[in-house]
Amino acid sequence: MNILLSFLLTTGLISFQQQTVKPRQGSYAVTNVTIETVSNGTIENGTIVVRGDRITAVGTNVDIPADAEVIDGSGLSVYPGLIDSGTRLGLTEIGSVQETTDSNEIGDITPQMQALTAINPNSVLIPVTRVSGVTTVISEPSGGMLPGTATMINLVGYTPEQMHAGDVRLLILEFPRKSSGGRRFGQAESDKDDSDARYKRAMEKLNEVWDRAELYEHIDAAYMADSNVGVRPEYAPEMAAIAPVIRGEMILMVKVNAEKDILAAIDWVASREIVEVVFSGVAEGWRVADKLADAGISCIVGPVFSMPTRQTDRYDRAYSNAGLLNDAGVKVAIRSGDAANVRNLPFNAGFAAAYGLGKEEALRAVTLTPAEIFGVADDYGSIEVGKKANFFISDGDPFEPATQIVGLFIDGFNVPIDSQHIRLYKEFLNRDEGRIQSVEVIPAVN
Amino acid sequence: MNLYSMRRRPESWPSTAVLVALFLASIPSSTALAQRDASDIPVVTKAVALEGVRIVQSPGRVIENGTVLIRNGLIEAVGENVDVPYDAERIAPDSMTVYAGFIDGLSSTGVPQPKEEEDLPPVPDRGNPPDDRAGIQPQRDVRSLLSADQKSIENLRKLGFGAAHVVPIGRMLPGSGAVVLLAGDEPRDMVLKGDASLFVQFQGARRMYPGTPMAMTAKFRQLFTEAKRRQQMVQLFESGTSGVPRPEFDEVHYAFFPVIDREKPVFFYVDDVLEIHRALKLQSILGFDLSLAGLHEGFDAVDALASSGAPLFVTLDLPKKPKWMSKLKRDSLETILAAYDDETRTATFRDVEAERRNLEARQVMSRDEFASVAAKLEAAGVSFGFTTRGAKTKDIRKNIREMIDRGLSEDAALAALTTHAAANLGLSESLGSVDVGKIANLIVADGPLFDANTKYQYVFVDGKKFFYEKSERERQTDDDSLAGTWTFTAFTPDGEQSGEVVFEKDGESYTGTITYPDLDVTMELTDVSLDEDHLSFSWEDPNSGTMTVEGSISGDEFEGIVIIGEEEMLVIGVKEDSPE
Repeated sequence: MNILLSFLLTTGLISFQQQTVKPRQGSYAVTNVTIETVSNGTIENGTIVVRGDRITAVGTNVDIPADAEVIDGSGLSVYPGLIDSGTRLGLTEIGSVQETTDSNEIGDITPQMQALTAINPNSVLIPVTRVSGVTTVISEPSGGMLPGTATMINLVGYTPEQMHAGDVRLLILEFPRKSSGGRRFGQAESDKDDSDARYKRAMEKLNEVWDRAELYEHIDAAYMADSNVGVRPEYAPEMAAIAPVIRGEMILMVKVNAEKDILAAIDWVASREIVEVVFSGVAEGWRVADKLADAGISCIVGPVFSMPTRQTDRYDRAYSNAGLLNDAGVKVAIRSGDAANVRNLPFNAGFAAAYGLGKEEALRAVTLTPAEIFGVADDYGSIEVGKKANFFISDGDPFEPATQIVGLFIDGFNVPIDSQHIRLYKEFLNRDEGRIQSVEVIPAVN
Repeated sequence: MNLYSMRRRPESWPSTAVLVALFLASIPSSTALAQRDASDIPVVTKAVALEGVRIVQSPGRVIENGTVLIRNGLIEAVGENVDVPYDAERIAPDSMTVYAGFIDGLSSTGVPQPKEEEDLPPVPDRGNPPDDRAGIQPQRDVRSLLSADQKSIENLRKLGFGAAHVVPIGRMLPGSGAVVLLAGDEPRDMVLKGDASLFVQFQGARRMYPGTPMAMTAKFRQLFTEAKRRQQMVQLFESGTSGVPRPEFDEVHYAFFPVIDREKPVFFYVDDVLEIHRALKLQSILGFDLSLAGLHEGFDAVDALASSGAPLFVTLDLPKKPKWMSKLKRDSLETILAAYDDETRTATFRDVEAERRNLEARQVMSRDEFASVAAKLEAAGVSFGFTTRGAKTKDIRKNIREMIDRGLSEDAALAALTTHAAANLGLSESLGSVDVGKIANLIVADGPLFDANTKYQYVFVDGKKFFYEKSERERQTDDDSLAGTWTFTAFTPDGEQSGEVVFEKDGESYTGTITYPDLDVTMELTDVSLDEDHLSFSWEDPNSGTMTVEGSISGDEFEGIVIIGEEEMLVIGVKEDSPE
């Protein structure tokens, strides 16, 4: 019932004083829908049964539990909830209002900063994002070389802990950027402190941080194995935050874009023997796609709606990057890299699909592929029995802007489709305030 | 169309004023970035083990293959068999020798140069000016003047110095000195011993009393005597006898009390022989603990210095060599010395050449005398330290080598930089050797300490590790970034001009040639210099005179400018070939 109601509301067919409908878990059966499972093809005229936070049955011939609330989805399609592999959602509200932004800690080396602790579950941007079928995002801090630990959240819940998805945490590394070459206009030639020197210092610093982190991990492991080995070792929260990456228990997300930097990052990751690693950004990845494929490093590309990085590039390089990487054999996920416009994720994927990635791979790049990259494919990314109930119901292809998402399940919660945008739309669609006598308009006298 | 036809600056180029303004605007940001170094990376462990190293604990005491263990800034263990704890950072450098960190006997390292105050009101009575204007400020304490981010600290540390006795900058009585460790984020992290000395120098006030050596000598005696009387009055008043007038507070006099009580030595900086004798005379008349630093002309006062018993610190600053002398090797100088004829008596117009040879020989002799002060003191059995005050950073190691060439033994040089310096500063308990319990100031060198080619790979100060240079072995495995064939292209108002440049490695430096392909002429490069990534070289162009290229190398690419007279143009370069 709810689903249909929401559908009608969003399309503006009826309007009445809306009562507050909260997301809730329960027993649901979505019937007569086309199911895009992503992992096992398309099921026409199928049924999905949800109990608690899990999908308990999927298929054409499914017993509907007696207590299930049945949602008839005739003519509609179900897709796995979209996963945005790089956002600032929940960490920032309005960029220019400092009080609402908590994504950037002061300092260069702050890996112990956890994005999860800063998530604002009441962010107005979260319902706005859900409207596009995005159920799960990576929310990442920024600023400095090691800005902190990114987190994966489901877009439902009252506390960050309730939102936290699959205990996914990723250590972010802003890889040092080499200068693009070319002396800037007016740059003094005697300026010894040029960009090359800065790059060199940044690389030295990164290596020093990693040397110390490896030593820290070594000492810490020795003490953990046998606390009688000696006095308690020094505690350095920064190093303790890096240690899981060195032990291979946490994924390192390397933010890197330029060709030279990608090559340097591949070498660096190999020399440090970091196994759990993913590159994010990768704007010039298509230039070195073979090397990324050889290194076996997964890439999170985007935002797809970008300008080419060089003036000599074709206009569509940012659109075709994901496709070219995929053709070379790189595992590709797509991100919006945004906060207020994460809802554009399906359109990012749609552009990538149109420019070489293909519809199927593009859908995978915002569902199952990120789930695999982040090691949560057992719970997320596709519509399968036993997985978390993260999916949405739409009246068409979610990559088409005209398509409406009419129903949404996150973690088994049936989440009503409503947002600040929809409320404002309804408020101002028909501005008849219902007054009996119209207000006299007095012209202004200047 | 060649490189030398590109002289005109296009009209559209920004004016010099704009460039200067842009440059100035960029300064604050670049300085801020320069200061953002590794200091925000947390320390993981305070235990470091240097394993498999040769250890020179102090001059003459050597462990051929041992381990030094540092913890919490102190040396915890030294020896052949040391158990390395689980939480130690293990450094096992190949074929390295560990020495004690050097100690600088006197300098103003870490003290910012005070700003020259301009527009001060004229002093009413120049014969009796206020103390601060006359440079009489013994109440100042260098601890409150230190700044931990001074470049001078890093410069000295790079040379192996771990501790320094630092004094304020000023005139006759600049204030109290302190012994500091040359590492730390703030002055309070650095200070090892405060109130270490009262610093005095024969540096007169400008155009007021005391401006001359005689005035300064008199002023010092006056202040010392007054302070002594003031101290008696204070003691009388404090003894509780009633009816004694309240003594006046005078911070200059009060600063002398610990000197009078012999709790604090007076450090006199003296360079010529007269100043040495004046300081010794003052000491014998007034009676205080005297240390002498400087001693440039100590060669003429060896006996007086030896018999005074005062702790000595010999300067590491040597007079600048005349140009002709700096170009010659020692063998040639010896030849000049051998040709010295004491008997030559000629009218200058008769045999100018013989006169010139004799003058040069006398210059060499004089220079040698300055370099032999340390050797003479060693021969007289005096234990002395060194002071870096006034010495240029880049000359210090060179000057120590020259002193060794002039007869100073290497052991005495090491002792002067470590054990003797510590003893002369009264800090033998905590500094000066590689022994258990001492402060972990260490040098890890890849060869004999004073050799020109020896690199100091690590310097430890207060247990903190500073990495400076790769050893020669690691250096050789690095690829040569410059040697090979390059094509340089200059962007001139008349279009692109190119030249083929071949660089060859010649020992530590580079040589090269440039060929203009259009004209098929080849010229020798001069002054090829590669400092890390920064490359510069020049050549004489037949038409345009000296052309200089400057810029930076990044991999196989070069980017910079060519300077022709007053003009500058953009140049890029690409490495085409590396040598076999």
